[in-house]
Amino acid sequence: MKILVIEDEQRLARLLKQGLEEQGFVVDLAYDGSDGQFQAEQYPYDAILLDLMLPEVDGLAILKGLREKGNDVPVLIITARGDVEDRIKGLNFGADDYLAKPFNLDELIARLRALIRRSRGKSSPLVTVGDLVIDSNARTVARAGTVILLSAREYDLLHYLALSAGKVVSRTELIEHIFTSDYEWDSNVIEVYISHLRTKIDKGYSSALIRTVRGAGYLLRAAP
Amino acid sequence: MIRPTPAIAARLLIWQVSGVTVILLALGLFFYGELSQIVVSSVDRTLHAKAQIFTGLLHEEHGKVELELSDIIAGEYVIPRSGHYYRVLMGSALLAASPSLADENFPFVPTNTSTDSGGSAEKYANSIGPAGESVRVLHYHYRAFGTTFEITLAEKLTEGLAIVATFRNFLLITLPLGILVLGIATWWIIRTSLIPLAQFSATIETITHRNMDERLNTDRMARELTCVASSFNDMLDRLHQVFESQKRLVSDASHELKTPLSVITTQCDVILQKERSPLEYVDAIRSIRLETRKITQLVNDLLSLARLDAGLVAATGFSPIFVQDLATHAVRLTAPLAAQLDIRVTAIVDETLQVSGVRSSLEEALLNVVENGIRYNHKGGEVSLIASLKENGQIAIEVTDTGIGIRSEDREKIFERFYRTASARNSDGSGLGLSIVKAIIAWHGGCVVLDSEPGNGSKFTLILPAVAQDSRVNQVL
Repeated sequence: MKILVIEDEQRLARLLKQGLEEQGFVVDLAYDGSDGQFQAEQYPYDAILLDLMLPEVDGLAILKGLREKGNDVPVLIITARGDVEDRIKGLNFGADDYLAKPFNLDELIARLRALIRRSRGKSSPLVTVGDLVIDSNARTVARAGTVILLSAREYDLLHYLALSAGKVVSRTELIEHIFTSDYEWDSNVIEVYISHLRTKIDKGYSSALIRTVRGAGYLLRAAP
Repeated sequence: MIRPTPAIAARLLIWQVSGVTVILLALGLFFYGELSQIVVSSVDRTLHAKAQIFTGLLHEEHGKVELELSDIIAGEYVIPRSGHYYRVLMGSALLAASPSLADENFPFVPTNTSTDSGGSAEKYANSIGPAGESVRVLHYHYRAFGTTFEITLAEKLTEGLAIVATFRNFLLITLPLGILVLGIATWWIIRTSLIPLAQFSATIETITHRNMDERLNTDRMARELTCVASSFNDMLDRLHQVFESQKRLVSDASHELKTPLSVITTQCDVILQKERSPLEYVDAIRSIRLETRKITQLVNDLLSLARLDAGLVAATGFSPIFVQDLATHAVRLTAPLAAQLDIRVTAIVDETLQVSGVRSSLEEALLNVVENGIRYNHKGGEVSLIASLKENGQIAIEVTDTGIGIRSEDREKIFERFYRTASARNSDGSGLGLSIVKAIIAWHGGCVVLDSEPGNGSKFTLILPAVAQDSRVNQVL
């Protein structure tokens, strides 16, 4: 899950990045409004953490711009101005949630996860594809009741495919959602992770869940 | 409806009623006295006229003096106890006495000291007549025919006194009644006139910090109150302005406090997410320490500003201070920072220059300006402090830096509370430093002037009134 943090207080932004990354998120940082706006419009994020008081371009302006362009990425506003009027204004501008500073990091992460789940049409933290169950809170995976241990990247990749279960996901899309935007990427890296996943998820089971769609990407689907 | 304040109403009522009572009583007594006087003097005039007639009726016939009354005159003296009496003594012998007297020797005992009128020959007195009625008596000494007549005439006062009594009774009834009616009318007038005042105070009572933009409507007010109301509205304007700026300050301050607080909170949350190495813990604690220092600085700055705003600082503690001491203090305290950022700080100050003020505050102001010059400078840059006496008798302390400069659109704003330029946004400052400088210098009767060229540095000039040169001499002596 890739998150964009737009926050002008650099120490707080870096701490958020560290905290979120340790919880398995991939995080891009923007320290001012114009940079944040550029990144938010340029890259596909699973959610955006947005501070309102920003130099150059105001947080609400970024939000308004995104919504006007039809971008429905989940946006969680974090701001020191916690008045009811400010919250209502933020939500009316198209924000999905609102947290006042200083906030609890666990609450922030829980809210982020909930936002991302709902943006994918799922309300339960458990994602099920056939007999494969992914607990997105505990970051655990089990197939037919057997717990499978995955590396962080493998989990991110599988989780993303599972959220888009039944749909073909391109390599580019996968890379964009599980690596930071400044990652010097090589499409082979996805193939390597997929082959690791196949060994761990599908090997030894009667039906394979991960399929390759030639020239398009990958597909996670329960056997018909 | 709120009742009029009892104090004013009661006081007005008491003053009004007692005033009216005194005036009416005095008038009543005066007219009563006058009326009695008129009654008595009209009887006196009658007695006098009759005495003249009596003297005219005395005549001598055949060597014998007689009093011959015509029937018209004699008529009223015939009926016993008619209230009209006469007695004429010639020498000490009785010459004539009215039949109405019954007892011709009836003594008219005066009930008051007799009054002389028209010379000592006539003596008037009040007395009691034969019928027990009040009478007015005239004793008249008359000389004629070589002998002395003593004429005593008496007329009843009953009718006149009845008029006086009627008037007295009238006063006794009308006076209390009039006072009562006037009192009630006064009370009603007072209440009616105090109603606008009560409404006025009711309106004022509804104004709180929540609806401070509300004003009293002066259109439908009595002219006397319009003036008060508009002064009150002006006061509300001023209060509202102060209140709004305080509200903004509190809101800004809470925002500024929440930023380091959220860094601390998040730092704690992140570090507690999992087991860390001792080095990571130390780093986290250091970073938290840094943030708490910022919070402390911010709180101190806010308190300084609050004190300056509230006017808690008085000009009475002012004393002459050498500008050189202020400069030395600023240079000494900023030396570590200057060394760290490789900035050269120089100060050229005329050692005789003195300003009047509070040392700690002026030190803080100058320190802030010099520190800004160092902080927003290029590596290897310079900060110079030059103090000199201007022709207009003011001291200019110029702090010039070779730093990043301030854009023209920021030049006014940097003195605003919590305003930070883009380049200062992530610095450790509280955003209050220059506001404090401005407030301190203004309190000392001076001002701060800023010249800046973006990219080439800025010059902050603190202008302060100079202390006259000879005061230093006095001090030395």
